[in-house]
Amino acid sequence: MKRKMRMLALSASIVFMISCATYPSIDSRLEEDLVDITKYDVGTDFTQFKTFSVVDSVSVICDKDSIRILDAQAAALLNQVTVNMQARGYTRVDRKTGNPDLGINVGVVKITNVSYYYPGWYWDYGYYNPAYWGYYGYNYYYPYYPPTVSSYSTGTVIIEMPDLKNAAARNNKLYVVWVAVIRGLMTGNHTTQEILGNVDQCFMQTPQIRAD
Amino acid sequence: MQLLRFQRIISLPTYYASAMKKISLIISAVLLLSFTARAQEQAATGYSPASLYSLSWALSVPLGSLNDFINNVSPAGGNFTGRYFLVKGFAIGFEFGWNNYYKKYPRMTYYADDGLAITGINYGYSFVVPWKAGAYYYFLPSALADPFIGLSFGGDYMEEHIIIQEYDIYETQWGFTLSPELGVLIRFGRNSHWGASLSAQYWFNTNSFNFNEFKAYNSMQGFNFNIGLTYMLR
Repeated sequence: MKRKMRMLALSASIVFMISCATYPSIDSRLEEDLVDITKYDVGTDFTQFKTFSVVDSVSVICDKDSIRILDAQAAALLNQVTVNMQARGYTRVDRKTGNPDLGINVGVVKITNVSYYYPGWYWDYGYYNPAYWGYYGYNYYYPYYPPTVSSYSTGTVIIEMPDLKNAAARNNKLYVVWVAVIRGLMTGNHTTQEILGNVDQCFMQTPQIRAD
Repeated sequence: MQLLRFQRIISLPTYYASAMKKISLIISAVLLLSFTARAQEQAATGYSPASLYSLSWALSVPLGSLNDFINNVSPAGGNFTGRYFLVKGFAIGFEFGWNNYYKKYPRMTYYADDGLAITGINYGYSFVVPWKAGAYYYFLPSALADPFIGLSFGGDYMEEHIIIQEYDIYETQWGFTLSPELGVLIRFGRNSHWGASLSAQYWFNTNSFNFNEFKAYNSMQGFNFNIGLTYMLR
């Protein structure tokens, strides 16, 4: 009888677990794929921009610090962004002498153990200051509600596109007219080629970025 | 009286044949059980319960639009019902339950109208919670195996989600639901309070949703198989 009761309790708890089962947890969802999230400012006409400039290195944001790197992978990442912009009809110019209409920041986040990241939090972690683009005393500004990420976001590529053309007219604000986030880098084994494919996907899902 | 009962039982398949072809097998099983039960009833008649409560595990087969969205059978469900006999064989009661359905989709891009786009492997997920009142008829209320039919009506709470990593695009809603049911209650002993309940239940509700990749899903239906434990009160 006791054994029967134990069997009954066991099978009841198995049935209970099955009946509450649902899709895989966030941990396994992060492991299985790189996810590309983009957001552009619907109020911006991207055809008004003709030129762009990309940062000269990738900013790797670690726990309290950031380092700028330009190894083969970082160079490939910057190159892929450039290739995509040129394919959309934009002309690459020098950051200091070419007076670019758009700037492009590229960063990689490797922070762990932070529970919540408010939009643009990485700007405080030695990201590219607006001064990098020659706008001293300016701040970055999202003209929309940007994608938010949580503590699961470790290993994230962030590409941001500040509007330099209209900066002077916007009260010390550099509008970030496009932000692209590639997530899941540190949770799986992803090749450089795979990451570059995801850069392409970020552009592909934003056909609004066009010079003509 | 016995003859009347007999006629009711054999008229059951013809009554349901057009509406429920898929469950003819179950009807046969119920018929077989009820004939067995009749024999048993004559041999050993137990008590007729005044009320009963069942807690069941519910396996659900999505149909209609729900099947277009998630074509996986859901083992993740259950329900609870209480039924009160007004006259011998006829009961009214309540039912509530839940079912989780999900399906893994390959990489896909979801576009929102505020400029957001997300690409990745994603999960279609739906959660259905019916809250219903019903009327039931038990053919052999004092037999060891007692086949029954029922019809319940009420509100369905429903969620539809597209889940991409931690991003969750979803809708929640309430609608009306209607579900006919066919089953059998098997008593563990002539005077036992405990029994097993097996039933098949078709349902549909008036909910609909419209994600941009999944357009105009407006015919939510399902077929549930319930296996449960019943407690009867005299």
